[in-house]
Amino acid sequence: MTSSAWRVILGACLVALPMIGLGVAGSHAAPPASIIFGLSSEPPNLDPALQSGTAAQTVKIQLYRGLFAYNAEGAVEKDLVGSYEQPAPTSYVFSLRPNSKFSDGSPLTSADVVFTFERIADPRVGAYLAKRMSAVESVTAVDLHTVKITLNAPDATFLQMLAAPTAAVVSKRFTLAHGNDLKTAALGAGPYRLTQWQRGIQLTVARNPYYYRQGRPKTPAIKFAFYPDENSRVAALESGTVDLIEYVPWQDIATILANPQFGYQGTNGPFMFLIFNLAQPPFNDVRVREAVGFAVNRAAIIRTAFFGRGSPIYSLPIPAASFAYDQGLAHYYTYDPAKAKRLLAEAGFGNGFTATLLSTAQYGMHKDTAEVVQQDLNALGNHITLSLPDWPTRVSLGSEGRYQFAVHGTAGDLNDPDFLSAYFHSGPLNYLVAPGYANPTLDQLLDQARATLDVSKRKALYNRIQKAALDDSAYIFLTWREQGYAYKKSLSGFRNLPGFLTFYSGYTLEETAPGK
Amino acid sequence: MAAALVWVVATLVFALLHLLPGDPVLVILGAEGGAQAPSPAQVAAVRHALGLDQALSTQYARWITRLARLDLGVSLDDATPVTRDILERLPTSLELICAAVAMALLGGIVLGVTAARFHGSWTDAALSGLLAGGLSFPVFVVGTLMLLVFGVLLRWFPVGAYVAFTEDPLGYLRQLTLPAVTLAFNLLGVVGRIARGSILEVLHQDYVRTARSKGLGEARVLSRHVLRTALIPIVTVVGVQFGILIGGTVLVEYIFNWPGISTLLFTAIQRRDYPMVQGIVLVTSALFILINLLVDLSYAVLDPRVRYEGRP
Repeated sequence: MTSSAWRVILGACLVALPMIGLGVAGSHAAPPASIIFGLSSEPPNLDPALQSGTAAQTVKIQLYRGLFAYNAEGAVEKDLVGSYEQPAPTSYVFSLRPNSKFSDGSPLTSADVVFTFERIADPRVGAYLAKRMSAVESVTAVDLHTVKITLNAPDATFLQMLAAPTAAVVSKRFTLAHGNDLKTAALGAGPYRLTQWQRGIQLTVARNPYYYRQGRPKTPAIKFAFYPDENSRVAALESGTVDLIEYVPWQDIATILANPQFGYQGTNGPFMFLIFNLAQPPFNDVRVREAVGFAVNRAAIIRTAFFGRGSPIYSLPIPAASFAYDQGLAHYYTYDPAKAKRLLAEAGFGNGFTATLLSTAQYGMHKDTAEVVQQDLNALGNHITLSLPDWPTRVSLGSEGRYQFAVHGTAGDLNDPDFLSAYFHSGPLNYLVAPGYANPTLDQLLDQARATLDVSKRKALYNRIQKAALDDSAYIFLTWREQGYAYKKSLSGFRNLPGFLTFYSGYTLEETAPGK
Repeated sequence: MAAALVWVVATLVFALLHLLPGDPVLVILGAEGGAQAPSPAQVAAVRHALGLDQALSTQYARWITRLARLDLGVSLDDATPVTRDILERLPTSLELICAAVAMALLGGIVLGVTAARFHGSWTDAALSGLLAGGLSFPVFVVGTLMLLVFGVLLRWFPVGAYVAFTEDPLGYLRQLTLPAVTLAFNLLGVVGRIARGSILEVLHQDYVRTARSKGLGEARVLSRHVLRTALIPIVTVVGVQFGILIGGTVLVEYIFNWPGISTLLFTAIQRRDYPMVQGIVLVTSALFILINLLVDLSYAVLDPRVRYEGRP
């Protein structure tokens, strides 16, 4: 090789550079009549039974549907079920729509529904609803289009559970043909079918011609692009590269609201809270936990972590719209450092205590919340250090109970106070529950409230539950945080479902049209 | 020798990864933000299905024996072969790195030569300043600025919407530009400064004076005699940087949503997808070794004084 070879290489570079420049002039328009949705992450899998985060949920809702669904107002409505009756409090008879088909045209029958429930109960599948579905005693196919479900106790939340995307119906034939593995292959009865999944790049879905709703979906195709970096996600919307984004970063909400080119919908869905380890000092003493409840300035968390986009919780995270909301209990705590100081003194920590607060540096909101808590507690003479590992480590430490107290953020999975069971009902240790916490009275009340179908009776029960839970204060709930979607103004029909259901907003994509 | 090196890397990666706290089973079962935690029965069943309940030594033995058959295993997440994912994503990273290295080489040499040619002048000072800037601006600052100015304000380039070259060549080049320039920016500073330094050094060599006294034109002296010798340190540094860039483009790939090996590695670590992380680290290490070998071999081409002796 001589200098001539080098000239060739240099020459090639010289040719390549203008080509890149030339590219600037080219136009890259999206195919017409489709929506590009900027998700906050790539779905790790497409199995509808698994809970794999919001982004994956949104995609799965397009591919799969279940017996029930949530409408834009957050109400449960019939989906694949055409009609149903409840002959007894513990039994349901569901008649499938006779024209229900999977997106390959194969019929959707009662056998598929039975198979779906069996699959959810199989621990190897790792289905999100497995624990809750243990209330299901039997699922039987009465005939080709009729399914009978018997519960071992009445469950006021059963239909809501069936409306969750994680209860979607899968095809028995297709699933078994894929070795019961639906992580990458998908066949459901949703408004769209999977057309292409280019790993790391995009996932596209196209209208399911067999979808039972006439004239839906309104848009022939949706392209999901993945923007894990929140700044890039916002930039993608602002530059016109995508039509719709989820998880609008809080610091950008004001700018987007001020821009007439974009629409924005936010809802107070998820909440932030502290979990205490009750198995060891100092948080085995309820006075110390209550002291924390009075010591933390919620307004500071909303300001620093959420740029003002949230609201404080001084009690349990029961939304004001819930039947169980009790104005009298809503201000159990206040921001009162002096009272916190007194409670600490009563507990024998007049000079403060030393503890480590577990959070994660991976999510800004978790870290910022932890820093405010640390600051407020240290101001009272305590010595709090932060532990900020990455999220998987944080979850492992949490599920093993290896911490003193921890920051967490999540939402309820149903718009029903029954979600409190996940925290206050005793059971095996996991990353959501306070280690060492069990209250048999609460267990009994929570079971009873779930099994009661009358709303006014349930309201009375949840009132007692809230009082008992606040007496224990095994958790201190801090703030609601806003969960927002932003989109091009021309986009129509998309709705952010209220409250906890915000993560199921993908249900309204079939009503969404791109506009001009 | 190479096989032993691969074994050492494989063992190290395995050990480090399994020392890392965090549980892939919890990640798979929806620790992303579920309002219900999985039951112990589910955790146990999934752990068993993935073979993660076996002794670490058994898992290690399985990984090494598979590796001996060039089998990197399957992803814990969705059972896709690790090799397939790597083969899909590595070329995308290489495209980005090659484009960036080409830009940096070309730009760096041109700027470095110009600065050296006008050594001590204002041009030299200005160019040296620019190169120092390239060297010292962090990649996430450059990247974010590029995104804001050329993506959002001017709208010249799409933001993180990858299309394959085969699908839309122009679209491909358009979205390659910003990440490639960002990645090249830093390297441009390195190449430019080294080019300037090494050319200044070579310019004072005897054979250059000889060439000039022979009556050769300045351009010919520079291109034919000076640049060729001065290229050796540049090739060395580019070779090393190229190796580092594979798997080191994390920030650029993240900001620009580039579907390369770094984003794959990033996700795999976040999800504690052991076989995937192991596979990526192994493959990139092997590439690093290979590139260093190529750099060594290229010396012989560039400098006639360096010749490797053939084995008998």
